[in-house]
Amino acid sequence: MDSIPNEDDLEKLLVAEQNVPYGKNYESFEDEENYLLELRNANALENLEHRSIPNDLFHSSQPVGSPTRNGDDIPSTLDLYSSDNAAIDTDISEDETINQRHAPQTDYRYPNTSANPKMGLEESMDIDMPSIDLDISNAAAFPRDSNLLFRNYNSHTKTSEKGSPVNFEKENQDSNVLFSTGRTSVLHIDAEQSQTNNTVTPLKDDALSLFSFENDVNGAVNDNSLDQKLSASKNSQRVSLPFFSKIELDEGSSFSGPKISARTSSGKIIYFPKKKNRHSDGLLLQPKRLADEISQVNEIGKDFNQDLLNSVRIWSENFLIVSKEKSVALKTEKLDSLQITNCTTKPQSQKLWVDTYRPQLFRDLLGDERVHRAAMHWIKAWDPCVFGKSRLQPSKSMRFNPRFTNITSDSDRPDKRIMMLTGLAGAGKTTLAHVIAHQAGYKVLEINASDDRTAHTVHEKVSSAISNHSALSSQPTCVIVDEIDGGDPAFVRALLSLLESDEKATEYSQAGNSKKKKKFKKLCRPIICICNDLYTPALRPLRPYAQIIYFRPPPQASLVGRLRTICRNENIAVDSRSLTLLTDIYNSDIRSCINSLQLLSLNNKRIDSETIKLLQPKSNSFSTSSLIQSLFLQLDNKQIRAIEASQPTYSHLDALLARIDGANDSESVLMNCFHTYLDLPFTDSLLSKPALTSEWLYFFDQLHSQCYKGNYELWRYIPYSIIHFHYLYATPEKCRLPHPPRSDLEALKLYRTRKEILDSFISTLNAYENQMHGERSILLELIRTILITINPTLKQKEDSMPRSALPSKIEHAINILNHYNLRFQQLPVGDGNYVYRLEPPLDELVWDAPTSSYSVRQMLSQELLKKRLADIKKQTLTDNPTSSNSSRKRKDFNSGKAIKRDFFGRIISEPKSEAVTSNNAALNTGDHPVSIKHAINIKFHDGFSNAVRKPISLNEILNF
Amino acid sequence: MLWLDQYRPKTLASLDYHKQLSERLISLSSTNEFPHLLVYGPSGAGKKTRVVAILRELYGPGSEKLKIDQRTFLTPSSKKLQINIVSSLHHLEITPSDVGNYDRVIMQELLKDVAQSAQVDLQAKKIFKVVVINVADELTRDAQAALRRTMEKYSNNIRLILIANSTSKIIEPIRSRTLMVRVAAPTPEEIILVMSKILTAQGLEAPDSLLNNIANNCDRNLRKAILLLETVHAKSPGNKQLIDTGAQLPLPDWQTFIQQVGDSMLQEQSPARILAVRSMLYDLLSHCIPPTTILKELLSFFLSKVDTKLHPYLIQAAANYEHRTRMGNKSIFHLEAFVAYFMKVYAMLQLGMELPSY
Repeated sequence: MDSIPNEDDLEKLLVAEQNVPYGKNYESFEDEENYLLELRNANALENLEHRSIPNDLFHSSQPVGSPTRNGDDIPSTLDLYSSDNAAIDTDISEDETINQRHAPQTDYRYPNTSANPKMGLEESMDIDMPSIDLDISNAAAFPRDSNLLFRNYNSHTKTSEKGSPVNFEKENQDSNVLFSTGRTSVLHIDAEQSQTNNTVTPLKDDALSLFSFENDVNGAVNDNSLDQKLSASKNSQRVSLPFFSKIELDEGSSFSGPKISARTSSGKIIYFPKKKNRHSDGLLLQPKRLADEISQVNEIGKDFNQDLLNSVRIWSENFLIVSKEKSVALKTEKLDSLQITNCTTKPQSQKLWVDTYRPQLFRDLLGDERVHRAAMHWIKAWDPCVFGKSRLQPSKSMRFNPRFTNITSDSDRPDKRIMMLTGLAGAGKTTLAHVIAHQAGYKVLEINASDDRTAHTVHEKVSSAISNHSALSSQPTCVIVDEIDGGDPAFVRALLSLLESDEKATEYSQAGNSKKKKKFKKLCRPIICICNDLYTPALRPLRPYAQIIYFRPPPQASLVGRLRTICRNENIAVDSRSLTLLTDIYNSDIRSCINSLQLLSLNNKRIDSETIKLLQPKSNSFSTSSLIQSLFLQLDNKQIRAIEASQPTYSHLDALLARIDGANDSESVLMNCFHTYLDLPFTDSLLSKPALTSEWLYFFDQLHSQCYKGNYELWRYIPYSIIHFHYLYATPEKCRLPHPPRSDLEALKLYRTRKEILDSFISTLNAYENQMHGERSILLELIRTILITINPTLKQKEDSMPRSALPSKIEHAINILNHYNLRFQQLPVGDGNYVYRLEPPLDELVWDAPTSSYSVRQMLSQELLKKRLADIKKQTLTDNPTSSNSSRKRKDFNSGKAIKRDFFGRIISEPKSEAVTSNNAALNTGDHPVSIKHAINIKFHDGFSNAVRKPISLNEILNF
Repeated sequence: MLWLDQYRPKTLASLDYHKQLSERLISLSSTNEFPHLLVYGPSGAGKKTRVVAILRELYGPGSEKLKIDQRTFLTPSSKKLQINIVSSLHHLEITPSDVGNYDRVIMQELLKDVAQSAQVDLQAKKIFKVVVINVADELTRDAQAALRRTMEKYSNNIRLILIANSTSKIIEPIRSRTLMVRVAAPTPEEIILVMSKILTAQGLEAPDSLLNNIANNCDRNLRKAILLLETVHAKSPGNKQLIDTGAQLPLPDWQTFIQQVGDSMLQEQSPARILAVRSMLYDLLSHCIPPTTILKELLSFFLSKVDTKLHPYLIQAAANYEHRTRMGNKSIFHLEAFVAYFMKVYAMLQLGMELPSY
């Protein structure tokens, strides 16, 4: 009998180790603890009810007598709960049995002990709480076990399937036991035969619980129980199989045997005394408390119950907290995943940073502030004509913009009807045009190079914009012509016709001739032109009419600051050194820098110098450079043999010829060789090799010019002129190629620029001068003399300068400036100073151009302005010869005084006062001699200076 | 206006020198039989001044009312050519060398257009129109050949006046069909006389030493002399008396630069020096200096600096490379070829080697 359970125990251990990992053992421990708690609660209640002394004594004898059995009991308990499904089922069934047992107890006590209603209430509370907790724990644990079992071993599904009918049978068994009929016991026996050994132990447990129930009912009859015990023991001894022993147990229970019979049978059977020992332990402890504190029975019970409740509550709360934490963790994980997806989608939906960070206000513009202010001042000069505002005050305008005094005129519009913004690409020209037009209150109509831009467009768009208000908005229209140098020359000519008709309309309106004025339209809206190359031939007729504003790239520091702001807004980590390198690569081109940053930010959230260096353009194309290296490389004999061995009728020179012929542009290959061969180390004391190269270059030039004339069949002979470099200059070492040859292209660009300057100058000459002078004599002889004449040398010493001598030299210079339509234009230099620059810039056509001081040029500029105003006066007053004669005399008188004053040492300030007097004289007609006298006395000392900086609000700028 | 144009005489009677030539031209203009003319002489001698005076003699003051037209011609290969034409009611002036190798097309079409519009007014002073061809010695051979038939066929309606520096580049058939009028360069005395006239008109005075210095250094070029006088006036301190400071007269800056190129070639003969000279040549070309002018100026510099043994070699080389610049497109090749040839020959002379036969 003892050996069989041991074998079962080993099998269970093996099954547990194979099937269940360590975690499940831990969970089984929890289940065990729950079971023990339940048992202790039940036993405590029962013990409180019992007051008979012999029962206590009987229980105390068992644990003392069997210490070894306690050692055996521990693994058996593990085995009991190692099978998870069986354990769970037994727990559930035990709960039901407990509930059933307690119900009749209350019925029994109620009629007997009416004096103890409190005890009944306490019992009911104790029963409800543990059952709820157990259900929660079981429900939480069960699905995991089933899932784990399903994943690991499919065979366990069978055991789970078997588990459910076992529960059903147990329920029937309980109900049948209550009725205690013999037939049903026979049916149970048949069912038990089909069960496996694993299900044997729960039956024993059920029997134990039922047996204890019957003992309570029949506790008084001791003698009958002893007889039953003896008969039971005899039957068990006879039958060796455990099957039969089970039958006897059931019969005993059916006969409502007391504990004594169970105990005698359990004394011989291993499992019975284990649990009794535990029960006895609990009973022994609790009765001692009762004996010690009999008077405080109620108080002790309350404390005990509260401790249990508190511990259970704490456990449940901890469980809930843990479950909440887990759920929170799951939610956070989901949120993280959502954020990741959001990050990936954001960059795709963004638009270009060039558009996002485009300046919208005047104060946000980059670059030279004076250039922006000059452009703003020009467009504000249109306000009297467009918006009907009062004229600009000369003193205010001159205070801030002395170099643009020409803009202020007697009419309600600036003298230059068109503004031309010129500069390199990416300097901010278009942005400035839009910002100042919007700030000044205009609606912008932009005509770009990509639009249709013909003479017809001028009449449709520009003329209608100029003459009429737009129906869509109440704001007047400002026309911005972008990329004007790349457009059709007919467009420029049509635009020029608008300006010419405006000139004639102005003249006729001043003359008072209203009939002729109707034929010509007046230009009433500003037009801003934007170009990259000011000296394109197409723009030549437009240049005299335009207020030209030169754009330079913005300072590097301000551009780096703006780029850093953009990086901060876009959460990009970048340092100033990297941004400085970026601006160096793109030569302060704002558009290229911002586009490159946006491109880099797609892959990198941190940009450093090495990343930016990847943007540098490649210096050489691979094929051309490798071809040139092979041309100047002398091969070894081994290499030559290898090439010739692979193809017998093919030499390495043929290979080179084939590569030269395959090149896309043989001219660029030749120019690369031409720029490289003089750097190579070749031994030639008498320079015979360069002389021979010149013959081959002449051969190439002849073929090339013939190909341009249409004789393309000569193209095949061009590679032979290139192969001679290999014969003459090849070296065993690889040559290092310099940067690609740019001197040829740069010379061509400079040639075109200077040729355009020369052509524009020749176009201003009159027919007589065109008749007498050819282009070559003008370039080689005349321009030099003109430049020297308009830059006369003046000494500062007054003693050596008689007054009567200077007028001839100065007047001669002024006459030449006026005759050849030259002028000095005042331009700002980077550090805040000003220079007078000749327009058109004939200085570039000569070496070591003669220069004169600032004061001399300023004086000449003022005198030239006076002369031109006088000429205009003459033209307008041709109908009144007498008044013109009188005005001429007065102007001569004024000019004489002005020139005399210059030689008292006030060369710098006096010309400005002269300008004011000349303006006043021009404004006044000849019929008011008194006002002229007053004008003579004006002394104007204000001037623009950066020495003392003054903060200016935007309202002051806008209120000019 | 510069003094050069301000004080230019406008009639044959008011010319300052070559009186006999003026008298013959006056009598030639007064007859109805005006031939084709070929006016030749060095630069600065006054050729164009005399042509303008002849036109005034033929047609009166109306010939001075000028306008500038820009005509567009289409070549057989569908290329557009633009040329400026100075014209009046009685005459046309063209410079065909501005369009390079396509001058034949312009000559043929233009003369045909002019010839077809005959003079209808029988009472007019002259029944022919005059076409002035400037820089005729730069016409291509095809263009000159095209002129032969045109001169004969339309001689009733058109009279040609060719202006050239040298007759060596004019083909023989054209020379035989024209009356060749030589305008010699003025003598230093005549130049001094003209400058004195200008100074008197301006109310200025100058010492004789200054005038002599200018007259002797202007290569008998009156245009150059007048421009130099104006330059000295602008640079002198402020008074009515021009001072002869004894300083050297300023050369044109492009000449100074070319002399620097020649100096660097004389100092060293090596591939590195050829490379340095190349960048200087690029600088000259980018300043629109014609390559033929560069070669001429370099040659004249070397002739004054180098031993006379090398002169034939250099003259022939310069002529050869000038020819090549006209035949090809890339003038830098041929300018550098001249540099390399000069360095080679000069190095051989320095080393005492025998020069090759040219």
